[in-house]
Amino acid sequence: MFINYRYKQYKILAAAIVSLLLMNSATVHAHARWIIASHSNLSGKIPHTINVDMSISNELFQPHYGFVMRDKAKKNSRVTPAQLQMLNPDASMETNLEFNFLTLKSVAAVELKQSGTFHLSLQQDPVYFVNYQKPDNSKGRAFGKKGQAKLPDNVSDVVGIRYLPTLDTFVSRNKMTKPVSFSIGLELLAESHPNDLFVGESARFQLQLNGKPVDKAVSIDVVEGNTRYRNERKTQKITTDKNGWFEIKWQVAGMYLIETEFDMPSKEVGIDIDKYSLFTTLEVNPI
Amino acid sequence: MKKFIYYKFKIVFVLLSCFYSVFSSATTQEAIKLNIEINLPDLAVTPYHRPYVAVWLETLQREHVTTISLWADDLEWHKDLRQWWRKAGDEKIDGVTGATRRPGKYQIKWMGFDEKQRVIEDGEYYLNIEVVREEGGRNYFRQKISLGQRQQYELKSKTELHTIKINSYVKNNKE
Repeated sequence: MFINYRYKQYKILAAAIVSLLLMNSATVHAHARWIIASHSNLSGKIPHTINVDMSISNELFQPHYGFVMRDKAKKNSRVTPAQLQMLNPDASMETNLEFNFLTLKSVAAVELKQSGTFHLSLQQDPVYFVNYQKPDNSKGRAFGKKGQAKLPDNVSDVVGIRYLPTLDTFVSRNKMTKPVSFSIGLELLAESHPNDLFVGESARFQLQLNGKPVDKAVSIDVVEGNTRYRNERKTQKITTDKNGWFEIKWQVAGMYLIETEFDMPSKEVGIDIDKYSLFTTLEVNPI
Repeated sequence: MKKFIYYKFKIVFVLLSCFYSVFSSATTQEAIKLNIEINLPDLAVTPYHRPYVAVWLETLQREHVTTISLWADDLEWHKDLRQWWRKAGDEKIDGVTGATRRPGKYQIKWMGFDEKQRVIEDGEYYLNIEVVREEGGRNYFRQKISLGQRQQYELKSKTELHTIKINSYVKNNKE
């Protein structure tokens, strides 16, 4: 009886350790979200208009839930406010670009006048939530700041988190120039060019946080779109080196989502962790 | 007397023009470094759009050297020639750009100069040919060639282009 009890205890402990390890190694917690441009490369004399689709959706790239422009989002409504920004090739920035909420997705029509590479980014407002542990050792999550979020009784390990997602993509018109960085949140710096990706080739990127290379190994998820038309998600897991560099070998042509997260102690009062996340869409061409 | 002078001028003029034509045709012959025969198939499709075609040179390290020919006069569609566009998108190509062509056989002659009329050195290069047709397919060919050597290459036909024949010539060879 006693032995059996001890055995059960060990079993619970082992399960707890395993689940804890899994929690740590699984980098991506939140729903996938993406910004996708109708064109990655354009040429022509007359300024181009592109369409930009934005959605929170795990199915790539079919929409599930759209964003609302920050100015138009009513307080305390259940919409997701965000701001669309674009860095022009000459480093000038266009902020608060107009887009429409179409329930499942949001769509913008953006005019590209200059020649070179444009960097588009959807900056979502920070999401506050609290992670905690219940008395039965299971994990719980509540939205809101620490102190405001409604938590059950007798919880422990209460961690206040500020979630800071960045969704971005690149479009080149008439020539490919070095993309300008927003230097806010997570970003990818391409060794070659984010609009010059071809099947059978490899591309190297550096993960940057607030304009500087990350200083530790980070896990990156690479997923090709068309997830609806295959039975396996086929997520490629890649770990960066200590300076944030990693390499992707493109196996098939298509639109890809690159996802990653990075935790930092928060400077905001009452918040423990800033959880930065990045969702970059990249197009890979056939040879 | 006046008549004689006139005839004298005429003789001189004829002699000069003969001499010039012989001389110039000789230099043209000598200067051809590459002859690329392209054969656009007559495809039984409706609607048929004439294909865009790009021919260009790269080093063996796949660095762009020069565009030899581009059949796509509207900049709007240049990016559809994806392999060419990534290498030569910001290159000046006015001198080698022309309209799209009907199905048939064409000879592209290259004299060995880039767009700025600089001589391209003899040696080994990749000759690239890309063809793309609206509502149609896209083919890409790459052949290692030896510039400055008399050689012949034949590239197997694909859906958008029949067999391609490439002739490279020795410098100053009067072929």
